[in-house]
Amino acid sequence: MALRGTGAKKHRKDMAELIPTAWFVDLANLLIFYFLATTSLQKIYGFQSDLPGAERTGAAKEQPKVPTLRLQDVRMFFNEQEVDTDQLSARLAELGLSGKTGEGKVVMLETGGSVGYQRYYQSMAAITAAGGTVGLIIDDNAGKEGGDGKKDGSSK
Amino acid sequence: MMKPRRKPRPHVEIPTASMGDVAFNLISFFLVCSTAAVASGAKVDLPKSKDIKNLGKPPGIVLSLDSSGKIMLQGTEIGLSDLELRLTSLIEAAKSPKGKQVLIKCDQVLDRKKFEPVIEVLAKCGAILVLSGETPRKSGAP
Repeated sequence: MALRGTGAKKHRKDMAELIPTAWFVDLANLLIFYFLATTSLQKIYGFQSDLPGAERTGAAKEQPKVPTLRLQDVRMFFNEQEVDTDQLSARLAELGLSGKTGEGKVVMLETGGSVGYQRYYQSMAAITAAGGTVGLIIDDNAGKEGGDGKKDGSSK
Repeated sequence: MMKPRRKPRPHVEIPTASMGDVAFNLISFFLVCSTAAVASGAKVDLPKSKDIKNLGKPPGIVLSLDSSGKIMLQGTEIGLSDLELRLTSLIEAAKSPKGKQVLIKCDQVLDRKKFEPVIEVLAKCGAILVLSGETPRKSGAP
């Protein structure tokens, strides 16, 4: 009897010392709802382009001819020859840009007139998909002294 | 007559001890697999191209340009004059090359006079551009 009595007392004592953990589940559920509400599992479709800033100088003009794509209103010229989207992909593939390195990969992109972002984006994506890097020629309307009115931000 | 004595119902308790473990496993899953959703802050109709691919997780810096040319950086409207300063501070604070990536969400109808100055600023800041678009098949889906 004495033993049983001691055991029951001990059991009661152990029960009293249990750390309450029931609220852990509530906390965990709250955290789950928080993450469900604030996080995103979305994937981004697009392409990546590195465009370090650069200023075109007189010396740069003397470099060997770089392939140039010009977007003029609704028309598109690759090395001064008018092309459509499919022809552009073929012409870029002919250049074998993915096998080249450094400045050999650069294709300059120039715009003129009214060009929407859709066409601009498609052109950049085509150059990137062909293994090239995009060099942007941007009109500088401010007209800097001594400049040719254009800047380029060629990539890599 | 004796009343039929009801059998005492057995006390059934649903075991919930494992709930906490499941919940914490779910939290770990979300922590590892998800990224904080950054509001682009603008309604943008993305351009379509067949030459784009899945880039995985979006970068931390998001720049949006809507059809009216309004610039939104991290969901907040910003002027072109302030953009360079703000972007430079964000890029300089980046601890890895991934932190220098800027996701650009630009409306497909925007004219070059509106988006080219922004791209020029990004180039000056040394940002790595991630230009967001849609695949034609995706856009055609209902």
